[in-house]
Amino acid sequence: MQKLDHLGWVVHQSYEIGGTRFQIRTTSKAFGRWLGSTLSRYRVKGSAEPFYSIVVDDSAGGRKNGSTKRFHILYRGTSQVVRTLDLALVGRTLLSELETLQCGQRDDATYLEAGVVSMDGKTALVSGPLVAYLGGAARHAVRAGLLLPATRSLAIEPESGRVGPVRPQLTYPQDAALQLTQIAPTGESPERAFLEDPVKVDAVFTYVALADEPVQSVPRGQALHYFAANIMNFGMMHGEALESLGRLVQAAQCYQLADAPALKVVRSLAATLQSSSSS
Amino acid sequence: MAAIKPKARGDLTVVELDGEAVIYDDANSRIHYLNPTATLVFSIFDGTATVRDLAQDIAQVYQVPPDEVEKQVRALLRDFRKANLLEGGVPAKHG
Repeated sequence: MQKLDHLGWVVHQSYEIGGTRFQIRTTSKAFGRWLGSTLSRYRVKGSAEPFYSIVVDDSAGGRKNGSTKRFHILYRGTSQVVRTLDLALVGRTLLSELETLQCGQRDDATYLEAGVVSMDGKTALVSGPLVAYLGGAARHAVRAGLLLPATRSLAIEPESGRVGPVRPQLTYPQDAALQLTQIAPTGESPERAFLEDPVKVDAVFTYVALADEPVQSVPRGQALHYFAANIMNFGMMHGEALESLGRLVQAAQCYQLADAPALKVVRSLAATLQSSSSS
Repeated sequence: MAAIKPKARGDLTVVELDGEAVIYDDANSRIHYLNPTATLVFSIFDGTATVRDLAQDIAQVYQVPPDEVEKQVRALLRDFRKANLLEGGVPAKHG
């Protein structure tokens, strides 16, 4: 965490969710007030290790360097989860991250650390770590026509194999994220998408360190094995979790992406999904 | 010594897709991937036949030499045992 320690944190608050005790820190007093009020039920006394860090640019007017862009950034550890002009997106992503902390103890669905990328009405499943990696090329993704997920976890419907959002279990005001537009209004169109309803997955993409081609087809069994490692609640769902994931993979085309700079991965993903659209 | 009739553990969750299998072993919290050959052999380890019998059956279906098949089946048997995917063998009268 030392990497981020210089960023000027003015608020540090400790929370406990799903048996995990952690600290959230932010550079904004206003965001800190929102945090304290939204998550008051989960706030605990005493110190904890910083886990989420939120940089909020709530400076009035332009930046010192002449730029008028006001980026807000959410970090998990030292990894950037989202960097955006939309503070409400940061808030909603943070709340979704906190829901993920409980997924391992839930038995109402199979929870997968993964996200859905969409393009021209087609959807592709990518693993949670790849969601984070692609976040580094979010603007390129938008230009390529790809909408990246705002969350790194989702639920698999047991019978259909469709994927949907993690149903919230935390208690906070329904309009919590919207309240953040009062701290930092934005007129920008969204760069990330939240899954609102269950969708069928058209393609799944595994991601490997070494491969001959930037992208290639892989057998379904191989894709199932890859994504099975991303199931978060095997301990609660047991074999049923693998069966649900199997139904998802069975209905999808399966590809493997090779490790490459994020921009190149975005392009491979977009091109494959596009050709998959026309097939 | 009686020949063993290998049998896959009954408490495993096996999902087969396009001839490949992914196995979840809840007792050991492990996930296994079997390629098509391993999947075929694993699927016939039902405790009713010896390795030699199974190898002969496979050799007949795929028209390949039984000795070569038996070598492969025994190698897979060792792998499955190492991965703890099999129940204890059932003794047979001959092998």
